[in-house]
Amino acid sequence: MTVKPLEIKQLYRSCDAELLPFKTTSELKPLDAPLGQERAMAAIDFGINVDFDGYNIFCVGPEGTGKTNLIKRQITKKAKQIPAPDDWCYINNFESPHKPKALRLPAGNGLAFAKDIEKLIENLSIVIPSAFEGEEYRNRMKIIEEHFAEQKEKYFNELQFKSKSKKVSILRMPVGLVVAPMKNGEVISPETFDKLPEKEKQEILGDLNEAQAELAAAVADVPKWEKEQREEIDKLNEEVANFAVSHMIETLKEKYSSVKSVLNYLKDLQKDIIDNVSLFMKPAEAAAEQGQPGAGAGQAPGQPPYSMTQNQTPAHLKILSTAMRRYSVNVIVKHKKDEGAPIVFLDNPTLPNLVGRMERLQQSGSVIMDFNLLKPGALHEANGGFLIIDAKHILSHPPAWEALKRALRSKKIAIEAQDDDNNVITTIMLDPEPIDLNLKVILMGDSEIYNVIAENDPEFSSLFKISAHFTSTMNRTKDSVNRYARLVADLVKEKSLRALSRSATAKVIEYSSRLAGDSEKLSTHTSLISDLLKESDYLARTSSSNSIGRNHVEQALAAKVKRSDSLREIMNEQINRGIIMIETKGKAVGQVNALVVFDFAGFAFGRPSRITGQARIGKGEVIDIEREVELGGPTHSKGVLILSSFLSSRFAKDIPLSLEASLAFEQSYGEVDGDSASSAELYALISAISETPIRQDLAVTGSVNQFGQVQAIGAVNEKIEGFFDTCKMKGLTGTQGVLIPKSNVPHLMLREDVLAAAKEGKFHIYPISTIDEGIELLTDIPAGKPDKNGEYPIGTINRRVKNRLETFYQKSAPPKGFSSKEER
Amino acid sequence: MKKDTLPPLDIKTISLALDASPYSIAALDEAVEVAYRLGAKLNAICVEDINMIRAASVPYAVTVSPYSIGAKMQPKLMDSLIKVQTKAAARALEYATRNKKVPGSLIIKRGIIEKEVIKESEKSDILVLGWAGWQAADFYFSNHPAAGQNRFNFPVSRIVKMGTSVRSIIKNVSVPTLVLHGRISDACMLGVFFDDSKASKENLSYSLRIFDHLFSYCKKGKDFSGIEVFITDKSLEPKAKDLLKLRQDIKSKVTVLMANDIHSSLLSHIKDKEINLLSLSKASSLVTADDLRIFDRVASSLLITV
Repeated sequence: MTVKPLEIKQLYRSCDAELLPFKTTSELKPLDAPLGQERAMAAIDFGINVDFDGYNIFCVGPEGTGKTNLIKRQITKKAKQIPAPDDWCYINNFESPHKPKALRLPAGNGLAFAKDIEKLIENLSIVIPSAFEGEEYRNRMKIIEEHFAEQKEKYFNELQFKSKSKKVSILRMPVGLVVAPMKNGEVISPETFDKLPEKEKQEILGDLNEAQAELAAAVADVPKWEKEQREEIDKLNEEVANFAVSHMIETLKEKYSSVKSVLNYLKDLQKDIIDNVSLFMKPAEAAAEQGQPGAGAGQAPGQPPYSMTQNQTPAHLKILSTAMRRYSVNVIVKHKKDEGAPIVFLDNPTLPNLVGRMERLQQSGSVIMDFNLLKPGALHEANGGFLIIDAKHILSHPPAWEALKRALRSKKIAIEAQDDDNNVITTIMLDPEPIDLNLKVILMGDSEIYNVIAENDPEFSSLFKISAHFTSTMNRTKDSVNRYARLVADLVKEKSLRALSRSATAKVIEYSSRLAGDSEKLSTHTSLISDLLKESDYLARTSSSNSIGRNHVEQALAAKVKRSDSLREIMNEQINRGIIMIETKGKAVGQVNALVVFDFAGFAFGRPSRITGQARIGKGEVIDIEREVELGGPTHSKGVLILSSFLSSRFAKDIPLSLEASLAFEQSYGEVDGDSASSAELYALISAISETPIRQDLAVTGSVNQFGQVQAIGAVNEKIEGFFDTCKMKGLTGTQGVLIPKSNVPHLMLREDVLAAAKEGKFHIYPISTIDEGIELLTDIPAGKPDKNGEYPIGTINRRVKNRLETFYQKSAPPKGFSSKEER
Repeated sequence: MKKDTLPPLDIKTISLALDASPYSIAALDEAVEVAYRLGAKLNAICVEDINMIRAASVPYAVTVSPYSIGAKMQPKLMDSLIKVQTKAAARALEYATRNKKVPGSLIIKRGIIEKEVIKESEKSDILVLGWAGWQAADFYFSNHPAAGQNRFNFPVSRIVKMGTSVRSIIKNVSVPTLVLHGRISDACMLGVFFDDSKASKENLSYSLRIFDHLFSYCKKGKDFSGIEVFITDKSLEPKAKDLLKLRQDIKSKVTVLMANDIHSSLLSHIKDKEINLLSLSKASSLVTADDLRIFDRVASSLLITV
């Protein structure tokens, strides 16, 4: 059953440059479809085309696989087919100013409408005052005033006349009218009155009371007359204002006759302007009455309070425009008619950036918040189109995440007031009308984020029914290799780099397989490929080459390793100096070279790590020292339990397992996880139980199941290279090598130096399927197969193990009549 | 200029009724202007209305206003109000005379307004009155938008009825009286009502003499500036023209009023020709008839000669 080492061709799958149908990548046409993400593209395509609620998309996949570019490509194509969505504006709600109304207009009309309204108000600010300065208005006002003045005058004159026939008269005092007794045009003083005859006194008093009563009755009518006068004036003002306003608004009504929402607004606008025409007549005073900003903006002393000139001064217009905040149109979403649906990438998905915000304006010591200060968020900008967000970013802003879900559920965008600790002054909060939402949201994240959301957020699955899975690898076939070359060509063009030669392209393809960790796959991590191309281009430039050659790519790869290699160098030095104890020759009992992988700042490398095993009589326990000190992760512990189970099932079928064994990763002081060393641990244990030495010139990797089968592990290339580096450092003997799971053979894409050593027969890779194959290699002793009685041949490892375990059993609790023989 | 047959105009003292109402203050400004041109001094007569003081003392008299009924006027409060009014008059006089350096004095009297004004005016050469008193003050302080309403200006958009005190003074005054409805200093259109009576002739003579002193300059671009004499009968025209010859330097014309409606005809001419000042004698029918009500419909000031 001796396992032979792998052939060279099995250690690395090269790409034959001769088979690539081009000389340089500049000859290649761009890719017509995304490469290697067909499943994801189909899901996205379905998601963006289906028009039902909840069919938003979550793109799952690791970073660097080109999710963003691929999504952008798909969506851009679709967005062009969708008509541009409507423009949205916020306008004043005249009846409830704290609830601004939303106004919807066809695409491209928002700004035009806002400008039309602005122009209308500007024109009205001239036309209305002119109407009220006109001769006709003055004359009609004069008529009203005269009428009421005459009415009052007539009434009082009649009273005065009547009172004169009596002995009293009506006098006008600063605080009102008084009826007093008069004689010869003079008021009779109290002293003079007292001296009058009683009859005359009574007559005068009678006249006085009568006149006072009549006067009081007349005066009581004054407020009523004044009210009538005000109403007449208001009616006149309304008529004049209506005339001035209506024909201008009619023009706008004709222009926007097809937009019902605008027509309704214009109707309300007309009514409000007429009701508030004083805003146009006395800008400063009326603004003060309305409590508007810009109020009390001064008039020169001694100047009349009313300033109406046909040509307004800039200062006047400024005051006017402040008061006219009431009528402005706040365009929050504007589109061009033919631009298609919007696509928005939201980088910083905070709540205000997502749903919009209400700004505040400090003016003259007060804080203003009105519809003009509403600002849109990404939901507004993307409404009618597509919104792309990184899932990790939005989840780090929980209010934004909740708001997004709320918006998708309700199909409305509501600009919400945010709590602001800095906002000391309490203001009345706005409650703007929500806007209809029609949007496709695309979240992007890795599988970990996806699982977290899916498991913990019950709403998620109903809102994001489509998951588009991006893979990090694709199959390596002749066709996919050619398409990959076109991908390289696209990346080169995109970054404006030098073209690659075909041999350079072949090297890139080989690197891609190395990245994928599989000779039968290519990596879809386009960002890493792109980085390699950029670095190769730099080297080509510095060497004054017009194109990127294979050597540039190799140099770039080597340089990248060199930049990241410091920890590996340190560890290798420690091994070389014997600080970390690793043997690469000879044999030892209960000691195996396992292989571990370190990932430091994105650079993964392997290194041998000694595993030792000890066995003694005990109660059948295999102690995982790493687990005991809580440095062993669950997967590692599982691996140890499995190998324990293997031991029991193979060697303790008839008798209990009476040993106590312990396993340890020597000189390991950090957490250990994964079961890729479980086969190494089992070999160490077998060696310890059977007291058979293990070859130290071989390293082992692979996990084991309960049947003794060796299973595939990850990072096989790094692990092999790690032991090779150690052996090379200590001196290659020609017998050194690594035992790997057979199922890992397709994953091999080893370094050049490893290949060279293997080619020269100085280093070997052994594919192992079972523990027995491995133990044979490691001990140079056959493992042994059981006969029909379950007995292993004498001299085999399995026999040794069984005998030793029986000895342990006998020593621990020898049954009656049982005799043990130690045979070798 | 031939002024030979016209007696000299000797105005050394101008008196003015001043109650600190807006109209009286506007009249004050104008009176100072006239005093300045004439080189005269100005006596402002401020009368503390005894009727008001007495009315406040009447125990059974209550004030009635649109906003309260039954409030009792306190004599002390009335006294204070009177004093405030007097102080306001004094301040107004001081302010108006300061820049022009016109000698002025405030004469404070307590009594019946009309009687005291007439009595004090007899010590002067001409009396100046505002068209109305405090009764016209309300529209100065209203909110109604009308151009030019300013406390120190005459009202421009509303015809104010002549005040009752002013009517009474006109009927009993013994010196020439200028009753101001608006500014006359910038204007130069004088209308004279002539009916060939002795008083009317004296009125026309006075008007010719005072013309230059009242009108500082004429507005440019006006078609006619000067004196227009209104007669009731064409036969009076030569007599009127004879008098006008005494001042050939002043443009003049004679207009015959419609015989069947002299008043309306006169008012119509006043309005059409924008006559700023209408001169007539106290004895004319316009002054004696109907309690001066005709003048409630004119917008020009009056010069009443005695």
